[in-house]
Amino acid sequence: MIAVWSCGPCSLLLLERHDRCPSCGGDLLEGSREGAATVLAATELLVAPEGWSAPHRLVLFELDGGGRSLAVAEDPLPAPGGRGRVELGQEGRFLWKRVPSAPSL
Amino acid sequence: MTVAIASTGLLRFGKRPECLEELLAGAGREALQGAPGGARPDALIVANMAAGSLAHTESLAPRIADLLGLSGVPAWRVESASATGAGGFQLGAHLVASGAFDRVLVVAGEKMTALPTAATTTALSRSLSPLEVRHGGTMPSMAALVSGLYLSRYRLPIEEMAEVTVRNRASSSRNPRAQLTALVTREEVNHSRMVSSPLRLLHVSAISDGAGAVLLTRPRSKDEVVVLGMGQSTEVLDVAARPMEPPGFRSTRRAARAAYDQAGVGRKEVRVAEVHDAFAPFQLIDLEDLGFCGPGEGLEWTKEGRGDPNGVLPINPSGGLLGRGHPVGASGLAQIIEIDRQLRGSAGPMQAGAPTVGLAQSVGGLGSHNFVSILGRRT
Repeated sequence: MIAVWSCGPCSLLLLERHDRCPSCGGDLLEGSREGAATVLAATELLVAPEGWSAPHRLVLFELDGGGRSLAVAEDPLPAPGGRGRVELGQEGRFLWKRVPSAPSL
Repeated sequence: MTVAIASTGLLRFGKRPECLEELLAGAGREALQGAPGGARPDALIVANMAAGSLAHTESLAPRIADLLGLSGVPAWRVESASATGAGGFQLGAHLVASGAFDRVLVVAGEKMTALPTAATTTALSRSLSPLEVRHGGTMPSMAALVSGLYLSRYRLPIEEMAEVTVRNRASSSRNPRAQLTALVTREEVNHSRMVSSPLRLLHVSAISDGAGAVLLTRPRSKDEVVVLGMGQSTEVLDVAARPMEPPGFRSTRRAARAAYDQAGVGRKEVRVAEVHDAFAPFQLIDLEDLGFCGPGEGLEWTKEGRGDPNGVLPINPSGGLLGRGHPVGASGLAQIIEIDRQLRGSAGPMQAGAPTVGLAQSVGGLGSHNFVSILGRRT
């Protein structure tokens, strides 16, 4: 399960805990999602940032039921529209798990 | 607004031998030498994004005051990520408009080439959200995701983004202060090495050293370049959490609305603009966010030549960040200096007609705090 925080007044959805809504200051309600998600955009960075190895693959995903964030993906890089599953890994990082039949780039 | 640009200074961008302090002071001296009557500023703003990480120096405000012979003058350092120069300019204009000071010198600069590229990339990524940094996000990779959203939304092929680079490099070939002055072709752009898919090297602005300076005063004569309006907006730091329709930067749209309202001009009255093309697709996003064309129309608008130097609204006649180079602390102020020179008719081979209203737009971080400034010259 993936934790999701939603803002009552402005409907902003966050996958990162905040004390208050960063957009309107409203109270946040905690919920959860199953982890099924769709790729909105993906990139393969060929010069890895410090502490990572190249190529470094990132996915911008949207959970079924709402809520978007980033996940680290393994080879191959999934294509926009591709389906997969998000899991919470170490140090609060989301990991993208590809559905075997999903398209890749 | 009751603020005028009295004089400017702008160094050539690129890999330079000077340290950061010398760059900032050099631009400041150039602006002061051009000041009418040699007016001494009564306040100093030093705009810089990441001196500690990139140049291993801090406490820039008194250092630059010393180098300019202004010790004793009130001075502040301002930081707004990749829009730092615009942030310094707007704060300086507010100081003059408020009546707190009569003459404010704004200097903005960055020294980026002293470190290896990986270390520079890491330093720049600190302006991203903690979540993005935790996932290994960097400026190029986050820009690639934003660009990917835009391209997918309007079904645009990445190969078409070469239209932006080719045009801006044609403009920078006429800019004596630009880092990159060689023309490039579509084929060269589309075969340059991949940086972060789908962005290639020639879609990305260059790491650079450089500085600029502006002396702001109260208007004293009728034909000065004046600040007509300014706007700035912050945005939720996590890119993924922001609204995604229309794709682009809500912070630009908010800043533009504020600037147009304050200036009392509409987008159709703007006759020249410098926009933040740190990554080629961003220029199309900027055009749409500023209202120069409709959502998804930026590419066709550009291909029709409307933003060319002889077009209806010249965009980045200096070459933009893609051609001029992108010393992150300096770029926002360089845009304003270029607009000032366009309005004065002193842009030399870059002059694009005889505009009387111009606009500069700057993106801070990945759109987390964007700026729009509108300048005008009364005729």
